[in-house]
Amino acid sequence: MISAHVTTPKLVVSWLALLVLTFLSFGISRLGLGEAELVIALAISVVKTLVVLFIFMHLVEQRFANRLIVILTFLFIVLLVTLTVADPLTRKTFPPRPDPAASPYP
Amino acid sequence: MSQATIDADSRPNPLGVGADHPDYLRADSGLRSWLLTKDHKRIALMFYVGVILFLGLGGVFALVLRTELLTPEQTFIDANTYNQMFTLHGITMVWLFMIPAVPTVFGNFVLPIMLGAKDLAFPRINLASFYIYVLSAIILLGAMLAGGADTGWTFYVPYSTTSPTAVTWMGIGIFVNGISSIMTSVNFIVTTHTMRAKGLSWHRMPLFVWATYATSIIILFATPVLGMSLVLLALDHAFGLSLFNPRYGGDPVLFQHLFWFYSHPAVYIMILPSFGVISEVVCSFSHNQPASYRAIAYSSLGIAFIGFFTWGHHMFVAGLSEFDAGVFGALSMFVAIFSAIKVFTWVATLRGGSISFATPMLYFLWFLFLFVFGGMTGVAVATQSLDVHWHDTYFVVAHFHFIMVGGTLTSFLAAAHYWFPKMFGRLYDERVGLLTSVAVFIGFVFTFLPQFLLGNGGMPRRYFTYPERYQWLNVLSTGGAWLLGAGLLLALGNLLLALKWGKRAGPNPWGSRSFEWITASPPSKHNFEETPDIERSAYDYTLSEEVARERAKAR
Repeated sequence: MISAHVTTPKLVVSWLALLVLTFLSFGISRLGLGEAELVIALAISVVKTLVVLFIFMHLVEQRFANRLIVILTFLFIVLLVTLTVADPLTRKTFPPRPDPAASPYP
Repeated sequence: MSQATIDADSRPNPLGVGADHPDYLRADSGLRSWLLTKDHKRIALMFYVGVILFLGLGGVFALVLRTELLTPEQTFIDANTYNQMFTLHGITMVWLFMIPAVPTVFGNFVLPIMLGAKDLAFPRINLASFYIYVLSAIILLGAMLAGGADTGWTFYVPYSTTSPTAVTWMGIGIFVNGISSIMTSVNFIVTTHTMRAKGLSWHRMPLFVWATYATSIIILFATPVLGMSLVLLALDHAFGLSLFNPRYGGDPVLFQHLFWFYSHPAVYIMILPSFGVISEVVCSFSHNQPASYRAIAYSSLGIAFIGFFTWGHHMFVAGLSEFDAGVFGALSMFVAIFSAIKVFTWVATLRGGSISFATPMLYFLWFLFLFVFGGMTGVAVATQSLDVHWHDTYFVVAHFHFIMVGGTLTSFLAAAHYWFPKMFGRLYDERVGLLTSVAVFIGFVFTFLPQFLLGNGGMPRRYFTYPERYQWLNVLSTGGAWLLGAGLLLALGNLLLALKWGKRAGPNPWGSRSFEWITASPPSKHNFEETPDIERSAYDYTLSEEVARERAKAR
């Protein structure tokens, strides 16, 4: 079932939206928000990706079966990022090496 | 309505569908007709020549390595050459042989015929994927001649970013190779979705198609990540961008995450098509339907899916967090469930079957042994505590050679013998086939079984020298490697001789029910004159063809 058509005005609006989002992510990087900066930048990137996929790649016109492969791809990227990011977030710093002089054995 | 549902023997022309037309080898002549062909069968043959060449090249590298390890000190090459040699061996075998071997040769050749199609969905893309494969091989060979690389096939940072060898070109070569893989997999997926013959529902498809389909999905999802990682590495190496350098906010372990996100599923890219071959062989040579068609078909998808959750088990001692290591260890073991489903179903397929011990069936038995043995050691190395002991020792080398090389090589040879009559219309010498099969198996076991003991005893991998106490096991392993090489050469010789002097094969010399055997051997240029009408499963040894024909007519 085709749910929508991509028309030229839609393409122009989407392009403008992408430009705005690009400037937005640049602007946010100048604010010095710390760790929140990464989350916001990623969120903006996800929105931009969806705009490109659905409008410029005409996914909005496709059947669900065809959309499914893109949804799955997105989920695989989420999987890659989640398990990878879980690694540094759960790393522990090893305790410093004990002083050899304090060792009971020579 | 075409009567291609009926089997070859009950057809008006007992030589198979399309036997009145010149076969694909003779339909067009001249070098140009080969180089610009869009026929999936000819492209498969061109890939065949390529992968055999690179199997030979990778094999020569392996023999050089094993011969060097005959003695604890330098035997005949220096340490630097040794480092480059094991890197070249790994890269050649992984990207130029094991990943493309079964899909590009046998997938290309039989998948469209199994689906009742005249060709793949995108014949030009198929030809392009061959030339891109050749281009990647040229880049990799050029990099080898320009000094090669000494990083191992895993390109671990930080060493690979500073190595003075041709790491950048190796990365580019593998990137280009990935494009070829992606093109082939897209072709397979689209062909399977859209070009199945009338009546060929998903649950009637041959199991080889299921396996190739699952492999294509993995390639499509995972390969871009590898391509991206190697481009980043190449940028790092060539321009010093320090993307993985902690001093500039990079993380060396991040490279391993990205690399293994592809390279662990790559193991399944290598082994899943082999599962497909084995499923065909076991059904054809036990003349029986699979004990559970759906179990084999769905477990391929299960392996493809769960294979994406397991990459971290390569990084247990790399500085991976304990939390992630636990998660990856547990997830890795899930693969064993799907693998066990397959193994038990294959074995159960033999029950009640009429088994004939031809060469492909013998390779099935070797495959079963090597896969189960290698798989069980895989469960062991997925256990974090054990992996700490075995990591980067010869135990791991033996484990992945049993699974990847044993699995791919035995299934490749099984397929080479099984589909030989279909591809070339002739029969190979069965006695020589059986003999070379035994030589390959004994050679393989003697090569890699001692390596389990070496690894467990503490011999690290990639080392040029070793303590003298490891020598007798290394000598055994080297002897096995030479026997394996001789067995492979003999097998190749047997098949090459059969090309010219083999007996003429009928359309279906094994009495198989899979759909590729409906056509003539070798098939005509377009496989079928009309799209066939399928009214039975690919393994239905009970339904008579008359009934199948009646059903097709009634539809």
